[in-house]
Amino acid sequence: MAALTLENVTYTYRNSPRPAVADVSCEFEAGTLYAVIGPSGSGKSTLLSMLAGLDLPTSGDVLLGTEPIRSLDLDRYRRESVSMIFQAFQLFPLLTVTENVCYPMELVGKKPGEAVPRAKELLSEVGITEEEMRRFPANLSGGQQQRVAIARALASGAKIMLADEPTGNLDVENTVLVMEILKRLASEQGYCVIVVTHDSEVADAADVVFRMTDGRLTRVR
Amino acid sequence: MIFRYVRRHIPRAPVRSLLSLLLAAALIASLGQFVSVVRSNRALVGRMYDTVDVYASVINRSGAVSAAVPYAAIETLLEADFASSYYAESRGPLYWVTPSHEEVSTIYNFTDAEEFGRMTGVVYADGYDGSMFLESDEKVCVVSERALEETGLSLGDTIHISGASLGIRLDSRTSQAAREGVEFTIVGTFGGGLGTYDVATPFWTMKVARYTFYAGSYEGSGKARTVEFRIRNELLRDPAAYRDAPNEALYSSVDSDVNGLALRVLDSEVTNVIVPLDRNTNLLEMLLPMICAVVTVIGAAIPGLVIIQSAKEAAIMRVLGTPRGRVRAALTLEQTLLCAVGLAAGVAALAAAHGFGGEIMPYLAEILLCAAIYLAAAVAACFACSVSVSARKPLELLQTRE
Repeated sequence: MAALTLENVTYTYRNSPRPAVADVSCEFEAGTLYAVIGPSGSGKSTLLSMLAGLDLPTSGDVLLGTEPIRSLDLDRYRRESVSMIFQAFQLFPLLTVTENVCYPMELVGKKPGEAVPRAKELLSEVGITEEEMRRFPANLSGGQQQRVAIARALASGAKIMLADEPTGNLDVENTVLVMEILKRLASEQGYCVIVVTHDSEVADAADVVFRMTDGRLTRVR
Repeated sequence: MIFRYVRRHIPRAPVRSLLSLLLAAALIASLGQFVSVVRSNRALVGRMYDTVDVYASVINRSGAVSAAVPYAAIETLLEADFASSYYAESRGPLYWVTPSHEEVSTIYNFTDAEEFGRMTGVVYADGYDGSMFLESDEKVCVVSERALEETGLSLGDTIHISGASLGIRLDSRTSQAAREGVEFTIVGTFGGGLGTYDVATPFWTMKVARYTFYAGSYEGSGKARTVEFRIRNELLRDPAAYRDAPNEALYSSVDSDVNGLALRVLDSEVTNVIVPLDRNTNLLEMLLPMICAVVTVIGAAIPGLVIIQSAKEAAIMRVLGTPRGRVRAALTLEQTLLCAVGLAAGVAALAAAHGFGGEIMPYLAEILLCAAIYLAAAVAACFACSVSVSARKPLELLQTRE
């Protein structure tokens, strides 16, 4: 069973003559790293928004397993089923690195006593040191911030990770590092990782590549 | 979790937090000071109206000071009920008349012995004191000690005073009463200040004098030589009540001795000091609600703007699965808390600046009400802005535009 399925999904913005996402059907499996490439304005962000449950399709369905997400509590869907990382990292600036990673766990009711050790464990896995864990995000490099963001995404326990241009603000070295982490998550830990990017080199690291053009999704590889 | 979020947030954004706090404190302290100034000014104006002494005297309508005021005019003015008290005195010639003795003297009628002042060393009989001159309606009098010695009279005896002399031929101009005289009971003695055979009586007996003495003498025809009214303080806010009404009463009298008179009010302190202060205070009182509204709008807008600037953070919370309600609560609580603390600090600082003393404490309830309205407006604005912020599409805020 696919982790996420799109069935004839169409999304049209209000007052727009043509759909941003047009009749897209595809499946995203666990244990696979997907790349969705396409130029700016092709509908990638809209697709990502629907996969994250931040928008619902104008027609068609996004299914989590077999369940249409429109019938789910979308806040809970985002807490427990999917996680996101962004080009600009989007960490809470006034929380320490550890507190950032604790946030999704506290959201589901875990006490700090339980959340902090788990957060430190996840941060260690992505290569953040004890000293760096006490810092605020502004005191970290871009690569470190993105790794913290990945740790935060893992903290919720969600097995579907959505990444919006995760290497857009990183140098080559950190790009490679981040993509290795995402690949490992997919291949070794069974995550379904969907990366939206316009960088073809990032797409090369993916197991499956889709191309988005004028709202239509076609499988390239 | 929301409290933990807010507890972390406030100290970690010290400049923003302090500015929010100081803004609320400064605004409420300023507003509170304005409230106390306006209210204490109003109280001061009230006290000034209640304590200022304003007097009026009677003049001829032509503007000249009246040398004599008929008793009828005094009665007319008293009926106009604009005076809290009055002092009046008059005098007229009289004759002590005994079967074998007469002395030419003067009868003094006045309302207040102390005000009169010329009579010294007064001793009253039991049951009498200086109030007899205004409050007694008996024909009583105070004479000199020497007069008693020379005539052999004592306290409690009566004297016969008349407008007619034994040596003057009685004619048609002299009234029956003038011929017959009036009996006065001696209830006090004075040591000096007046003539030996001068007599001091209550003012109302001037009416008696009008019919008693020779009609041709202006001083003996029931006129006061001095009359001064003290205006009732409660009327001072209404010039028509203490200027127009008494003058109208004089003008409308059928007595030609009365309707040619006017009341001159010496109220420069009222018109030059109290009334302008009253007007300024009226203006401030009109401005007060507007200023409260402006302060409240500013006080509510600033935390709202801070929340709008937190839109990205709210978007992160939403993307991570935080329910909209919790996002709104976190954003609202932080600013509301800062506002509430700022308001409390501002009110406390204002009270401390006044030494927790009488200048500010009477108005503390009103200031606290202003603070409560301010806080309610801030909460409403924060909530409205947090609703707006949490309703925005998160990815629009979080995605990097190319």
